[in-house]
This record gives sequence, structure tokens and C-alpha cells, in this order.
Amino acid sequence: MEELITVQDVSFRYQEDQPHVLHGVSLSVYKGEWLAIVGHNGSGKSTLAKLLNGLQLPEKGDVLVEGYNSRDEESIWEIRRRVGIVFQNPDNQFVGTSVRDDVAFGLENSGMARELMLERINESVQKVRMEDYLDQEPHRLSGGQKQRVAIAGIIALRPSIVILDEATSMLDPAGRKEVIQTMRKLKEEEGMTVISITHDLEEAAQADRLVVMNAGEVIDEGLPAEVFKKGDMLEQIGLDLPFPLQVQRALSERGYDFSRLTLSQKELVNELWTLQSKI
Amino acid sequence: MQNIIIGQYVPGQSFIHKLDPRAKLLTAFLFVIIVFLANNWITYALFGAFTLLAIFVSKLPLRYIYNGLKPILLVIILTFLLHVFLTKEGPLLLDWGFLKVYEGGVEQGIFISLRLLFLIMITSLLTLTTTPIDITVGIETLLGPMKKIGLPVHEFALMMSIALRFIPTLLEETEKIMKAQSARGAQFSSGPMKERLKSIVPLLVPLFVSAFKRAEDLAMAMEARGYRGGEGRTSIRLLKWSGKDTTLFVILLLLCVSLLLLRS
Repeated sequence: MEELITVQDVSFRYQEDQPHVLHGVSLSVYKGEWLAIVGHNGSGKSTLAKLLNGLQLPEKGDVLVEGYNSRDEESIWEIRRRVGIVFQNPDNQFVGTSVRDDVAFGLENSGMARELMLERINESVQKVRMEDYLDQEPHRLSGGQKQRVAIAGIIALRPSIVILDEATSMLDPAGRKEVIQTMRKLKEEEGMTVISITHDLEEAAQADRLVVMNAGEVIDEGLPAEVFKKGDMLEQIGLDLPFPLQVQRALSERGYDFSRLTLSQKELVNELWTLQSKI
Repeated sequence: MQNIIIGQYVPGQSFIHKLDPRAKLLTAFLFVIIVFLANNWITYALFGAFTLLAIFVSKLPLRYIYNGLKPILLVIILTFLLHVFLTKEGPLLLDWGFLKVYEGGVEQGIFISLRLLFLIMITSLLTLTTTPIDITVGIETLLGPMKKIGLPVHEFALMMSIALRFIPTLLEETEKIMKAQSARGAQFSSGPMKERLKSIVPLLVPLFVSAFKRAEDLAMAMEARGYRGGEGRTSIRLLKWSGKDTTLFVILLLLCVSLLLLRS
């Protein structure tokens, strides 16, 4: 698998006299995967996102995006074009006065010709199914719609990686689903690489790979099914296990045996109805 | 809250609505200058005709124009009275002892009031038929050449458009904070003036705190999307100078020429 982002032994702190937010973090992101980075508030996961597209520079270590090192001043713009971030607050990242203006913002920054811009805008709003809202003003959109516009603004630049930095945490369940489904579709149809930074383990359970952070360090990494076996460890660092897993654990304590971990409701239901079945 | 209109813009499809914002801005600007050319009845009548024609063509309900005039109506009346009583020219019309009204004063009063009236009408016509964002883009393009002498035209325009974008957001937030403070017993609409002013403080403080937080977030989001100032930036908003706009300028030119011929 092609490695898109390499983080090598990165340490970071916001100010000289403050404690480190990240200590010797190393990780790789591969092309076409959905990587979830989970951790409690203050675990350094959002700071890591900012390091991945050069909004912050590492104090020690290197961040390489498709071979560009974020330390080189020249490469910063190349990195930002390749790595897009959808932030947490839907309102605070909407720059334009209408959907069209907002999607155009990144393209305008890159100095693209207007004709090409219009083409790219139409293409990307269609991908997030916001084509009927091109002239809408942001205050008339729901949170989920605003986040989808943010995604459109990013994919219009044709990046190779999209980072969702707690992008669904301020949304209602419907909005959350909208955003996640939009990203899934993009990943499957366009081969987009997605890094989802979240403390919602239910969402993380659907990822291809999981990185667990605590107190500025990567403490675990692997397939969701592997990581979730260490449920106690996850609870210890302050994360809420997905509900189907909680049910399973409670049942196991009462003596019921399950053949495998149930990370989704569907899996749990399947396990439950076959539990007593002798067929 | 869903239906607030920023600025005074009244949507429409008239000739004036469809003009290029640059043409409208330049016209309003030129109008402010040439209105001082008028100095007799015929030239003022000419301006009156031009203004009324513009209002008629814009198809705007007259009450919008009146609403624009309302705040300065007092100023106009005051100016009129000052001129009537203080200008001492021409034959005496009235004599109340200490107050003397001359014909020149009445004439001057009417002229100056009309001048103010036309100015306000034309400029409100500009804001009534152009969206704030179009005005911003228009100003940015018109002032474009000033970038060479170091005027931060792009930054100014971006600031304007972000301000416009955040007005509804902040209004919504104000409403939310007001409700939260009311729930804790704060009163905003009753009590003596002093109390009411005091009650604004717990409204403004959280609003400011959150506005700063928003500004910080927005700056980060803009940088993440590759914003690096106006250099080499293109724009999605395209202004089109059409035949209509040229027509407007021909009319304006004719107005200018006739003014110069007719003024005394």
C-alpha cells in the first residue's frame, strides 16, 4: 500500500514554557484507507490534525505528505492543497456569503481561472448533493448541510486526503449520518483517503484502521476489531465504548459467551438471535 | 430570524437592479458632484426629473424611498429654515421684527433642501437595488488600481464580505444569549434606562468572547484552505459591463452637458 502521510517521531508544544501536547508520535496513513484517530479531549488528536496540513509545525521530528516536508516553506502550499480539513464548528469555517462563494474560496486562493472554477464547483456540490442550494446563504442551512458544503469546498481542490476533525461532534444524529455517508461515498467512489478524528467510538468502529491516542502519545493502533478487544483500556482513557459492545460486555459478565466482538447493532442482533440457536 | 435581509436591498428585476454595481457606484458618486452644478430653477427641475425617472424605472415601492428619507427629514427641514431666516437677499417678504424673511432666502432654502433630497434618493436607490456583496465587489474592482499605491483593497473587501456573512450568525447568537440571560431573570425591555443599559453588559461580554473564538476558528479554516492574501487570487464573482451600463453613462453625460448650458 502506498504511504501518503508519514509522521516521524513528532513532538510539539504550543509555547516554550508549556508542556508538550505531542510526545514522539509516529504513524503512517495509507492511500484509500479510512483511518480513525480516537482519544479523549486533550489527547492531542486535534493538534495532530493541524500538524498534518502544516497549520502547525513540529518542534521535533518530521511530517511528510506525499514526500513534501511541512518544514519547507515552499512545500506548505503543496501540502495544504493535498490535505483538506473539515473542522468542528460548521459556522466558523463557512467563509463565503453563499454556498457557491464558499466552495469557490479554496479555488480562488489557488488562482484558478473562473471557467474551470465553475466546472469544479458544480462537480463537487453534486458529489455532496448540495447542487440545489448553490445560491443559499449559510444561515439558511442546517449544520449537516454546512459541513457537506465544507466537504465540497475541499474536494473541489482535488486533495488526496480529507481530515474530519471532530466534524460531526456538533451535529444532530441526522446531520452526523449525512456527513459520514457523504464521506463514505467519496471514499468508495473516488478512492479518497479519510482521516477521521473523533471521540465517538461508534463512528470509529466503522473505520478501516484505528489509532488510539492518550496524553499526546499513540498508545494503540490496529484493526477496530483488534483494538476493541482492549475495552478496559479504552474506558480507562475516558472513551465511551459503542453501545452494542457495552451490551455484549455486560452480557459476557453474566456468563453469556459470544464468538466475536459486536461493534454494530446489526452484529449484536445477529449474535443474540443465534446465541441459543442450535441450528 | 430566517428572513432577515442584510442592508436595505429589495430584490427585483428592473433595469436599475440589473445594472453593473460599478456603473451604479460611479453614477452615485458623479451625481453627488454634479448636483452642485445646479443653481437655478431649470437645473433643479432637470435633477428632479432625473431622480424621479430613476425611481420610476427601479419599480421600487415608494415607501422604501420614504423610509430612506425619514431619518434625515428633520435635517432637511432644519436646513430649509436656517436658509429662510438667515439669508438676506432680494426683496423683503415678511417682517416680524426680529425675524425677517427675504425672497432669496426662500429660494436658497428650497434649492438646498432639494439638493439634499436628490442626494439621499439617489444613494438610497443604490443600496436598495444592489446587494451589499455586489457593492463590495464593485468597490473592490473600482479601487483595484489603488493596490499599486499600497491600499489594502482586497483585505478591505474580504473584511466586508466576512462581516456581511457573519451578521446573521451573530444576530442568532445574540438572541440565544438573550434567552439564556432572560431565563436567569435578566430584563432587557423594562425598567429605567440606566438599568436597561446595565443589562446589556451581560449580553455583550459573551457575544464578544464568542466572536473572538469564531474569528480564530475562521482564520484557521481559511489558512487550511490555502488562503495567503490577495496576491495571485482569482474571483468567482464576475462583473459584466453591458450596453445598459453604457446607456446610463450616456444619459449622465447628457445631463452634465445640459446642466452646464442651463446653469446661470
